[in-house]
Amino acid sequence: MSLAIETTDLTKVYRHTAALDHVSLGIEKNTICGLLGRNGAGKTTLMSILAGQELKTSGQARVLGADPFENAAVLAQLSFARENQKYPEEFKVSHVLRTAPWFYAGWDAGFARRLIGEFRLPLKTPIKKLSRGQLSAVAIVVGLASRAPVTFFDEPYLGLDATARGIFYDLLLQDYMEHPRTILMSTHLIDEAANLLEHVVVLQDGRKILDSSVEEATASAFTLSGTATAVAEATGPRKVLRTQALGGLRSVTIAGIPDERLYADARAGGLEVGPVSLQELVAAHGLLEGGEPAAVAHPAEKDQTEAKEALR
Amino acid sequence: MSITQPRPVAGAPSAQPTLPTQRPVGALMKIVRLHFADPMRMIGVPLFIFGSIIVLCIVVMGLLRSFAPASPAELTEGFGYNQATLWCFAGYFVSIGVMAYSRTMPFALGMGSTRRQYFVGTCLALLLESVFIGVTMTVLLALEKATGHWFNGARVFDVVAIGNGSYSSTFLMGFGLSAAMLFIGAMFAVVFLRWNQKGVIAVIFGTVAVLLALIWLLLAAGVNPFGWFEGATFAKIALIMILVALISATGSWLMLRRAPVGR
Repeated sequence: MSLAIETTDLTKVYRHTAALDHVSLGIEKNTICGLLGRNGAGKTTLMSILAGQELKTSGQARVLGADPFENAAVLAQLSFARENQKYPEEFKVSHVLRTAPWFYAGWDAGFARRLIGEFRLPLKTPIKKLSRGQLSAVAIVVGLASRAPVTFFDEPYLGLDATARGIFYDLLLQDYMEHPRTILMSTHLIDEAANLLEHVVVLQDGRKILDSSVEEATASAFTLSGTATAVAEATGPRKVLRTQALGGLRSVTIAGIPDERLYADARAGGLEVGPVSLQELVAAHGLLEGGEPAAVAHPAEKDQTEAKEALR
Repeated sequence: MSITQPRPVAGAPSAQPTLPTQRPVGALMKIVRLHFADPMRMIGVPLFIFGSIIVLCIVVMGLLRSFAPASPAELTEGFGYNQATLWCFAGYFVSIGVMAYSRTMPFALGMGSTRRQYFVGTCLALLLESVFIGVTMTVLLALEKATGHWFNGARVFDVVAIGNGSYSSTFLMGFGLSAAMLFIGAMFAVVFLRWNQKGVIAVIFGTVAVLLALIWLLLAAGVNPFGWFEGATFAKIALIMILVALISATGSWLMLRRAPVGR
């Protein structure tokens, strides 16, 4: 399977800070990939470089097998609406609908009209007067109806209510099934998007901390929950990625695959062994806590993490 | 969450054929058309500005004819020094040039245009706009002459500043002035993309310094730069403005090649 997006030691340094720090990753063609990370982790910078809008400082970026910067053949197959996308002054949604087809061989006007209806977008209102949610909807319409072989969505849900977000996820998946393409979507709403994603890339402070298929990622850990003492006994020396405590109850995310011994201990202690969700896994990798991953090596650190979790 | 469909398997064979690189509209033409997609901005507003200036001048002439102690013939002659046309659209055209790069370019690049395609297409669009203004001013000059200066002697286009009633000079002045303003605006927008506000201020100071140095050098060498303008004055002024546009366009391209877009 060939890669749609590939970076090797990709680095972008702004005056004093590294927005991307030697990021190497590969995203297969025709997958939906989630780009996760906190604000300022480098998600938009990565997409900007891949879309040829920003210059890299060093390393390599390849889209559809070639460097995208000023590459007409590559960029012609790409759609990228930023979270703060700018539109020509005085443009209305109707102008966007009229001009976007000029840029995309695969533009589906019928689908665009349907999306406009689903998101209840007013055609005649100037874009600069649209609400945050409506702006996101415009970007979604262009991103989906363009059917660009490589489509980037930069936090496409901002300002959308839960219903509209549901519509977006449903339509995205439905259209993707009919017209497979490579979709890279930056998001904070991991739980919501988890069912869509086949691949995840997690960035933290410009560094890649996870790059794998969702299946592999969620198979790399499991959760164990029950009373604190029973959980501690069953966990034993296993590597705990994250601990959550509520009163006398405790839930831990443990690296690896549960073995017979653990199942036996769990039965004996009345514990529940469950799969780890993407959200929990990403949290376990330290994304939500900030700073270093919360992998617990020493009891002191473990206590600190527990205290933090309890506070949360 | 309402999604119930199974997730497709990564790496499953795809029904998608190899996508054509052929674009539905030519790479340059789509940029030109993009600039004219909102006809109000490029056509409607300039026509509205010219219309307003004509009405304003007619009203001013009416007031003067009613209250000023001068004959209508003297007033019409005095109106020959009216510079309204020269300045009425200059500011607006600088802003069109600015918006071409600050607002329209991020949109076009987000939809897969390259910087080169966008730059060349935009140059074509700005030149077309300049031709449109040159032609409009020439047509309005003809209309002004045919109506006896808008029926009350108000001279708006038949004025010294833009060609003294000559059709060719008026066209050249309209074209040159538009091109200069549009391309200067575009260049400052590119400077802003590349170096933000500090860059804009530096370029303004730099340009003023270079111009002053040039004038100082010419005067010190005993050359009267204004002497060069004698004979075919308007063609020469237009030529200088076209040169200004050309220099601005060249500078824009050199800076644009490495400028971040869309931030």
